[in-house]
Amino acid sequence: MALDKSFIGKSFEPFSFEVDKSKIRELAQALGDENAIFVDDEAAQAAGLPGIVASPTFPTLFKMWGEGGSTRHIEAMGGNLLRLLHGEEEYEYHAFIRPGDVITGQTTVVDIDEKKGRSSHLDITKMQTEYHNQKGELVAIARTTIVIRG
Amino acid sequence: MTVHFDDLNIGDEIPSLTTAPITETQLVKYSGASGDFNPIHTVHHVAEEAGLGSVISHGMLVMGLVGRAITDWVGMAPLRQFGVRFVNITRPGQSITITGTVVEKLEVDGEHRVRCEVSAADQEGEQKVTGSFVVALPLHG
Repeated sequence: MALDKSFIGKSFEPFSFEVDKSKIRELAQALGDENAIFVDDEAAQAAGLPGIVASPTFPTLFKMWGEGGSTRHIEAMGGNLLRLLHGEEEYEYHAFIRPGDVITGQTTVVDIDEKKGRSSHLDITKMQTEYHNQKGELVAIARTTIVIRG
Repeated sequence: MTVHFDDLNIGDEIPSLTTAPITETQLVKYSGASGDFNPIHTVHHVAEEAGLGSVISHGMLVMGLVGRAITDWVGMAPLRQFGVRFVNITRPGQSITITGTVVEKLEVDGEHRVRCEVSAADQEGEQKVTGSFVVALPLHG
Protein backbone atom coordinates (compact mmCIF):
# COMPACT_ATOMS: atom_id res chain seq x y z
CA MET A 1 0.00 0.00 0.00
CA ALA A 2 1.38 3.37 -0.99
CA LEU A 3 1.97 6.01 1.62
CA ASP A 4 -0.40 8.95 1.87
CA LYS A 5 1.31 11.70 -0.11
CA SER A 6 -0.92 14.37 1.39
CA PHE A 7 1.54 14.31 4.32
CA ILE A 8 4.27 15.92 2.19
CA GLY A 9 5.07 19.33 3.70
CA LYS A 10 3.19 18.62 6.90
CA SER A 11 4.76 18.86 10.34
CA PHE A 12 4.03 16.67 13.33
CA GLU A 13 3.57 17.82 16.94
CA PRO A 14 6.67 19.32 18.58
CA PHE A 15 8.31 17.22 21.28
CA SER A 16 11.03 17.77 23.86
CA PHE A 17 13.90 15.99 25.58
CA GLU A 18 16.01 17.06 28.54
CA VAL A 19 19.71 16.26 28.17
CA ASP A 20 21.63 15.01 31.19
CA LYS A 21 25.16 13.77 31.75
CA SER A 22 24.08 10.23 32.47
CA LYS A 23 22.38 9.84 29.06
CA ILE A 24 25.45 11.26 27.29
CA ARG A 25 27.64 8.79 29.19
CA GLU A 26 25.24 5.88 28.63
CA LEU A 27 25.30 6.36 24.86
CA ALA A 28 29.11 6.61 24.86
CA GLN A 29 29.35 3.40 26.90
CA ALA A 30 26.94 1.54 24.63
CA LEU A 31 29.16 2.51 21.69
CA GLY A 32 32.34 1.47 23.54
CA ASP A 33 33.46 5.09 23.24
CA GLU A 34 36.09 5.97 25.84
CA ASN A 35 36.62 9.57 24.71
CA ALA A 36 36.68 11.64 27.93
CA ILE A 37 34.94 14.64 26.32
CA PHE A 38 31.64 12.79 26.73
CA VAL A 39 32.06 12.01 30.44
CA ASP A 40 34.49 14.40 32.12
CA ASP A 41 34.03 18.19 32.25
CA GLU A 42 37.71 18.88 32.94
CA ALA A 43 38.89 16.69 30.07
CA ALA A 44 36.35 18.32 27.77
CA GLN A 45 37.54 21.80 28.79
CA ALA A 46 41.16 20.74 28.23
CA ALA A 47 40.05 19.79 24.69
CA GLY A 48 38.71 23.31 24.16
CA LEU A 49 35.05 22.52 24.78
CA PRO A 50 32.79 24.34 27.25
CA GLY A 51 32.46 21.05 29.19
CA ILE A 52 30.87 17.69 28.47
CA VAL A 53 29.10 17.66 25.10
CA ALA A 54 26.86 15.10 23.42
CA SER A 55 28.40 12.74 20.84
CA PRO A 56 27.57 12.87 17.10
CA THR A 57 24.61 10.50 17.07
CA PHE A 58 23.05 11.76 20.31
CA PRO A 59 20.14 13.44 18.47
CA THR A 60 18.76 9.91 17.89
CA LEU A 61 17.80 9.99 21.59
CA PHE A 62 15.64 13.07 21.01
CA LYS A 63 13.77 11.21 18.32
CA MET A 64 13.44 7.88 20.12
CA TRP A 65 12.78 9.04 23.69
CA GLY A 66 11.11 12.35 22.84
CA GLU A 67 9.10 11.48 19.76
CA GLY A 68 8.76 7.71 19.86
CA GLY A 69 10.78 7.27 16.67
CA SER A 70 9.98 7.64 12.98
CA THR A 71 7.82 4.53 13.03
CA ARG A 72 4.85 6.43 14.51
CA HIS A 73 4.83 8.80 11.56
CA ILE A 74 5.23 6.00 9.01
CA GLU A 75 2.29 4.23 10.62
CA ALA A 76 0.22 7.44 10.52
CA MET A 77 1.00 7.73 6.80
CA GLY A 78 -0.18 4.17 6.16
CA GLY A 79 3.17 2.36 5.96
CA ASN A 80 3.64 -1.27 6.98
CA LEU A 81 6.21 -1.25 9.80
CA LEU A 82 7.18 -4.87 9.16
CA ARG A 83 8.56 -3.79 5.78
CA LEU A 84 10.37 -0.71 7.06
CA LEU A 85 14.08 -0.08 6.54
CA HIS A 86 16.12 2.81 7.86
CA GLY A 87 17.76 3.94 4.62
CA GLU A 88 19.78 7.00 5.56
CA GLU A 89 20.46 9.33 8.47
CA GLU A 90 22.17 12.70 8.33
CA TYR A 91 22.91 15.36 10.92
CA GLU A 92 23.86 18.99 10.55
CA TYR A 93 25.46 20.42 13.69
CA HIS A 94 24.90 24.07 14.59
CA ALA A 95 25.65 24.31 18.33
CA PHE A 96 26.88 22.03 21.11
CA ILE A 97 24.31 19.87 22.85
CA ARG A 98 25.11 20.01 26.56
CA PRO A 99 23.92 18.60 29.86
CA GLY A 100 20.98 20.65 31.13
CA ASP A 101 19.76 21.54 27.65
CA VAL A 102 16.06 21.16 27.01
CA ILE A 103 15.76 20.33 23.33
CA THR A 104 12.59 20.85 21.34
CA GLY A 105 12.19 19.05 18.03
CA GLN A 106 9.69 19.15 15.25
CA THR A 107 9.54 16.78 12.30
CA THR A 108 8.38 17.69 8.80
CA VAL A 109 7.71 15.30 5.93
CA VAL A 110 9.94 16.54 3.12
CA ASP A 111 9.08 14.03 0.43
CA ILE A 112 7.40 10.72 -0.29
CA ASP A 113 8.64 9.08 -3.45
CA GLU A 114 7.76 5.79 -5.10
CA LYS A 115 10.21 3.62 -6.97
CA LYS A 116 8.74 0.83 -9.03
CA GLY A 117 10.82 -1.97 -10.39
CA ARG A 118 9.65 -5.04 -12.30
CA SER A 119 9.16 -7.03 -9.12
CA SER A 120 9.55 -4.47 -6.40
CA HIS A 121 7.89 -1.36 -5.10
CA LEU A 122 9.61 1.00 -2.70
CA ASP A 123 8.10 3.95 -0.84
CA ILE A 124 10.88 6.34 0.13
CA THR A 125 10.00 8.88 2.80
CA LYS A 126 12.32 11.75 3.69
CA MET A 127 11.70 13.55 6.97
CA GLN A 128 13.55 16.42 8.56
CA THR A 129 13.63 17.31 12.25
CA GLU A 130 14.92 20.64 13.54
CA TYR A 131 16.18 20.77 17.11
CA HIS A 132 16.36 23.97 19.17
CA ASN A 133 17.62 24.39 22.73
CA GLN A 134 15.94 26.30 25.58
CA LYS A 135 17.58 29.52 24.38
CA GLY A 136 15.91 29.13 21.00
CA GLU A 137 19.22 28.34 19.27
CA LEU A 138 19.17 25.83 16.42
CA VAL A 139 21.45 23.01 17.61
CA ALA A 140 20.97 20.34 14.96
CA ILE A 141 18.97 19.28 11.93
CA ALA A 142 18.35 15.57 11.37
CA ARG A 143 17.35 14.13 8.01
CA THR A 144 15.97 10.62 7.95
CA THR A 145 15.19 8.43 4.96
CA ILE A 146 12.80 5.55 5.59
CA VAL A 147 12.20 2.90 2.94
CA ILE A 148 9.10 0.70 2.88
CA ARG A 149 9.43 -2.38 0.72
CA GLY A 150 6.14 -2.98 -1.08
CA MET B 1 46.86 16.89 18.97
CA THR B 2 45.10 19.33 16.68
CA VAL B 3 44.47 18.37 13.09
CA HIS B 4 45.16 21.31 10.76
CA PHE B 5 43.44 22.09 7.49
CA ASP B 6 46.67 22.85 5.65
CA ASP B 7 48.23 19.51 6.61
CA LEU B 8 45.48 17.56 4.85
CA ASN B 9 45.38 16.68 1.18
CA ILE B 10 42.70 15.10 -0.91
CA GLY B 11 43.21 11.36 -0.77
CA ASP B 12 44.62 11.37 2.78
CA GLU B 13 43.20 8.68 5.01
CA ILE B 14 41.76 9.39 8.43
CA PRO B 15 42.96 7.11 11.28
CA SER B 16 41.01 3.87 11.03
CA LEU B 17 39.17 2.35 13.98
CA THR B 18 38.40 -1.33 14.54
CA THR B 19 35.86 -2.05 17.27
CA ALA B 20 35.54 -5.06 19.51
CA PRO B 21 32.98 -7.58 18.19
CA ILE B 22 29.42 -6.35 18.76
CA THR B 23 27.74 -8.37 21.50
CA GLU B 24 24.09 -9.10 22.26
CA THR B 25 24.61 -7.38 25.61
CA GLN B 26 25.78 -4.30 23.72
CA LEU B 27 22.52 -4.32 21.74
CA VAL B 28 20.60 -4.35 25.04
CA LYS B 29 22.73 -1.46 26.33
CA TYR B 30 22.28 0.46 23.09
CA SER B 31 18.49 -0.06 23.23
CA GLY B 32 18.39 1.39 26.74
CA ALA B 33 20.72 4.26 25.90
CA SER B 34 19.04 5.26 22.64
CA GLY B 35 15.42 4.47 23.49
CA ASP B 36 15.07 2.25 20.41
CA PHE B 37 13.31 -0.81 21.83
CA ASN B 38 12.42 -2.47 18.54
CA PRO B 39 12.56 -6.15 19.63
CA ILE B 40 14.33 -7.30 16.45
CA HIS B 41 17.50 -6.04 18.21
CA THR B 42 17.07 -7.89 21.50
CA VAL B 43 14.40 -10.62 21.39
CA HIS B 44 15.39 -13.71 19.43
CA HIS B 45 11.98 -15.16 18.64
CA VAL B 46 10.75 -11.81 17.30
CA ALA B 47 13.85 -11.47 15.11
CA GLU B 48 13.30 -15.03 13.84
CA GLU B 49 9.63 -14.39 13.12
CA ALA B 50 10.64 -11.25 11.21
CA GLY B 51 12.75 -13.45 8.95
CA LEU B 52 16.07 -12.12 10.22
CA GLY B 53 17.37 -15.41 11.61
CA SER B 54 18.47 -13.84 14.88
CA VAL B 55 18.84 -10.42 16.48
CA ILE B 56 20.48 -7.69 14.42
CA SER B 57 22.22 -4.48 15.39
CA HIS B 58 20.56 -1.10 15.31
CA GLY B 59 21.79 0.73 12.22
CA MET B 60 22.24 3.79 14.42
CA LEU B 61 24.67 1.85 16.62
CA VAL B 62 26.91 1.37 13.58
CA MET B 63 26.53 5.07 12.72
CA GLY B 64 27.58 5.75 16.32
CA LEU B 65 30.72 3.66 15.79
CA VAL B 66 31.54 5.75 12.72
CA GLY B 67 30.99 8.81 14.92
CA ARG B 68 33.58 7.39 17.33
CA ALA B 69 36.15 7.30 14.53
CA ILE B 70 35.40 10.96 13.73
CA THR B 71 35.62 12.23 17.31
CA ASP B 72 38.70 10.07 18.03
CA TRP B 73 40.32 11.94 15.15
CA VAL B 74 39.23 15.57 15.61
CA GLY B 75 36.98 15.74 18.68
CA MET B 76 33.43 17.09 18.61
CA ALA B 77 33.95 20.84 18.09
CA PRO B 78 34.84 20.72 14.36
CA LEU B 79 31.93 18.52 13.25
CA ARG B 80 29.49 20.31 10.94
CA GLN B 81 27.75 17.51 9.06
CA PHE B 82 27.63 13.71 9.20
CA GLY B 83 25.45 11.42 7.13
CA VAL B 84 25.30 7.72 6.35
CA ARG B 85 23.44 5.28 4.18
CA PHE B 86 22.69 1.86 5.70
CA VAL B 87 23.64 -0.82 3.17
CA ASN B 88 23.83 -4.14 5.04
CA ILE B 89 22.67 -5.67 8.31
CA THR B 90 25.16 -5.89 11.19
CA ARG B 91 25.03 -8.84 13.58
CA PRO B 92 26.49 -9.73 16.97
CA GLY B 93 29.97 -11.22 16.62
CA GLN B 94 30.97 -8.85 13.87
CA SER B 95 33.69 -6.32 14.57
CA ILE B 96 33.50 -3.12 12.60
CA THR B 97 36.35 -1.30 10.93
CA ILE B 98 35.82 2.34 10.01
CA THR B 99 37.95 3.93 7.32
CA GLY B 100 37.77 7.31 5.71
CA THR B 101 39.38 9.51 3.10
CA VAL B 102 39.58 13.26 2.57
CA VAL B 103 37.68 13.97 -0.66
CA GLU B 104 37.20 17.74 -0.69
CA LYS B 105 38.67 20.91 0.83
CA LEU B 106 36.40 23.94 0.90
CA GLU B 107 35.80 27.33 2.48
CA VAL B 108 32.30 27.91 3.84
CA ASP B 109 31.10 30.69 6.18
CA GLY B 110 34.69 31.81 6.70
CA GLU B 111 35.72 28.34 7.83
CA HIS B 112 38.21 25.92 6.32
CA ARG B 113 36.42 22.64 5.98
CA VAL B 114 37.22 19.18 4.72
CA ARG B 115 34.73 16.61 3.53
CA CYS B 116 35.63 12.98 4.11
CA GLU B 117 33.99 9.86 2.81
CA VAL B 118 33.66 7.10 5.39
CA SER B 119 32.81 3.45 5.32
CA ALA B 120 32.22 0.82 7.98
CA ALA B 121 32.77 -2.85 7.18
CA ASP B 122 32.90 -6.12 9.12
CA GLN B 123 35.89 -8.46 9.41
CA GLU B 124 34.88 -10.13 6.11
CA GLY B 125 34.92 -6.77 4.36
CA GLU B 126 31.14 -6.50 3.93
CA GLN B 127 30.15 -2.83 3.98
CA LYS B 128 27.57 -1.88 6.61
CA VAL B 129 27.32 1.84 6.13
CA THR B 130 28.82 4.35 3.76
CA GLY B 131 28.68 8.07 4.23
CA SER B 132 30.48 11.32 4.61
CA PHE B 133 31.18 14.03 7.13
CA VAL B 134 32.42 17.62 7.13
CA VAL B 135 34.74 19.12 9.74
CA ALA B 136 35.97 22.71 10.12
CA LEU B 137 39.67 22.81 10.94
CA PRO B 138 42.17 25.50 11.95
CA LEU B 139 45.10 26.69 9.86
CA HIS B 140 48.66 26.67 11.12
CA GLY B 141 49.82 29.90 12.72
